Amino acid sequence: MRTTGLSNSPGVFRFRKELASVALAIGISVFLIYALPIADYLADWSALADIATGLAASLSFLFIAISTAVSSFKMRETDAPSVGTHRHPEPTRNGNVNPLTVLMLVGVLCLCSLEWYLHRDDRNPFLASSRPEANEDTWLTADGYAMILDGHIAQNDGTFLLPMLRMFTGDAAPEPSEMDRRAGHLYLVALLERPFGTYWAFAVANLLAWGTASLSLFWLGSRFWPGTSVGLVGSALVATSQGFIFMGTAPQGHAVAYGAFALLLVVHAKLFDGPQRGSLQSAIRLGWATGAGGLIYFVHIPFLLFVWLATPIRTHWRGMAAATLVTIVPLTGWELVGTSLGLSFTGGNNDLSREALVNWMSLLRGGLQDIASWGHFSSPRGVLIGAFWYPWWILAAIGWWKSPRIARNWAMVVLIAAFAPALLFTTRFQLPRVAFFAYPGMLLLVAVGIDEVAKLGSRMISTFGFRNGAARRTVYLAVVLTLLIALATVTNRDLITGSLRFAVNFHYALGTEW
Amino acid sequence: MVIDPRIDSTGWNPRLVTVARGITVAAIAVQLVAPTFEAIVSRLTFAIIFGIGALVIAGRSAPVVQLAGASTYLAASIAMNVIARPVADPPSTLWGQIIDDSRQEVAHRIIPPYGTRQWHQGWVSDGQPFIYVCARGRLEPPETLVLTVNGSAIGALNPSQMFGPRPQPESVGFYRIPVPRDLFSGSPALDIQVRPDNRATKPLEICGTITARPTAGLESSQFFDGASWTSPWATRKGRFQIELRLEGPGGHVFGAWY
Repeated sequence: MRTTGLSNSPGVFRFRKELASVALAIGISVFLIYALPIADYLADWSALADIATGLAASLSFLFIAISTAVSSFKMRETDAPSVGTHRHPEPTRNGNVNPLTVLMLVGVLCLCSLEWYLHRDDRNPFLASSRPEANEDTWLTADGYAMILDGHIAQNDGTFLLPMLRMFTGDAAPEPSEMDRRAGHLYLVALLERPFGTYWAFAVANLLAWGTASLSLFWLGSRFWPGTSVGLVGSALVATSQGFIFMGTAPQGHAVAYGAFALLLVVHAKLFDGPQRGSLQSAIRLGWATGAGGLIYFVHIPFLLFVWLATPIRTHWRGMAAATLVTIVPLTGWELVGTSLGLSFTGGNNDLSREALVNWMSLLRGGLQDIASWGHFSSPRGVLIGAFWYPWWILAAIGWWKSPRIARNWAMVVLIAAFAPALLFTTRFQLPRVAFFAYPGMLLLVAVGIDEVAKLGSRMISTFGFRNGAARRTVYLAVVLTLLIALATVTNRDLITGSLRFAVNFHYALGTEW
Repeated sequence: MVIDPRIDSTGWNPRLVTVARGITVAAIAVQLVAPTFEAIVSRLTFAIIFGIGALVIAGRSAPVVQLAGASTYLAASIAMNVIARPVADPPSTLWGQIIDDSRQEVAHRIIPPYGTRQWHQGWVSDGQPFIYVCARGRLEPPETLVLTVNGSAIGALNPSQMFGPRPQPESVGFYRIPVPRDLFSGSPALDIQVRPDNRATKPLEICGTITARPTAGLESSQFFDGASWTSPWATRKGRFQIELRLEGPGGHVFGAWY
């Protein structure tokens, strides 16, 4: 594991655009709160801080997104600030990986499998957080929102996926459901259903996606932070991340979609960073991959947002347009085929998205007071903290500060692309599981933060007289492992203490609690 | 020693890509041997979107990964047709048991988890035990059910005990009935009986659901039809919705068991 410092470490003056966005967001948030009438929900400092933080964070991402879009439009290829517009350092180009790293990656995959296995059946946090003792849906039975699948207790939304699964296996005729657009997930599960059985087929699909996500983050980390341990630490963070643990054995498409999102980021980096960038062939391939991902669940929305923000539009708008148009082909193709088979493609998230949009229109018509009150009633802070608890944000902030510009911009665009739909949807439902799509950017920034703290630790040890390399490496490794274990302890709190707090936060968002 | 995960086709046998493509086509052909026309069409659609799509996107890179992926795809496709295992048919999560005779009754046994941290925490926090019984509609004496625990009459279910949302007047929902803490001293199990009020004239309905974590065995729920006892586990792979909860101030739930 190398602990080499990151090249191109930025100075404070490089941050002007992002810092200006944050400062502007804070200023407007304070102004909006003054615009609010005195209300019960503003009765104490805790509530005020909640609404201020939610508004400031949301506006910060909005302003950074706008400035990134403007920059990617204005800048030409050679000086664009967007992702992947500069050649990456050569060390990752030769593709050589130390056998020790390979061994550690195998360890990471084992860790994914262990977390997956430990959180099976009634210990699945998606299911557990619906039980009465989670103190949310207390009107449900003692098992929560549950079903029995192949003798295993499982999250009950899986019921709605079974008709589509039966269609693929040939066990039954097509039956319209709210999940018709997620058929890609069921096709993959159908491939596993016969050897594993229904419950484990869903679970194994999730595990494969979990491992894919872990390896993808290793690849992305090695690419954007070359010569560091960021990729490896990032992959370990995926193995113990709240989102994958939460979805691990749930018969749902989320985990597979998370994995697909990370894989798409890899495909994007491979196809749009180098001589192939902007070629029609690359655009078509990327668009097809995006459409295929969209048939699993939702992936195409954050990913297309990422693509448009991450690529210099002025130079590559044709490629971007082609990729977007090609994305529609698999999505529409399946809808046409499915409709001819008797599926309906109605209801579900489409209706909910429409309702969210209507609610936004209502808020905007209501003026400043209504917009500001969104920061309370829709709990944007709760959504972001539900997806990633405070320590992740602190470490990510350190990582963002210390990252080279290209990597920092890439990670920020991933965050924006994932948080934007999650925050827009808050007027209907607060869903940290949608915000969790930001994990590739977030966890790699956290990995940089861990790397920086560990390097600080190894520097400090030398002030006590331990100046040799071995001692410093030991301290570095000890700090990295300590932080990884500390974060894993948080995400495994359900197993360790029985507390469902973080599972509940991930399920329902945090509300106004701190 | 170094391992090269890039696996660029220029450094490896490029024929592997061709082999991978052949295996993928074979996998798709195998999948098309499906029992229904709809299965064939839907599988073919996704084989093109995912299978062919993956090959096109991968191009000539990573031939070993392509070969491994294609082989797995073929194995899964063969398994789809060879292994006879239908998709699971989950037991119903909500069903009802009609009680239309004064001799009929429902019994359910719960063993409180006395030794657990969860129980201890609730108990030492002065948690109040409640029995939850799910029934259809608004039950008002005398057209109601009567609850007995360990032989002690607890009372008749009434509208003040209704708990949780009921979109329609005839919707099912819980009745939340407090029981004295004394019931739990020296009693290893709670034997709960729910029977119709002697004056009831209309049929009543108790809800049932799945059972996964019964405290007193899979057959802890029983129904007496006036002549014999049967377990909903045997007939429906389920149980009656009769539960014990330990709750703190403000309705904080320490635990729920059945």
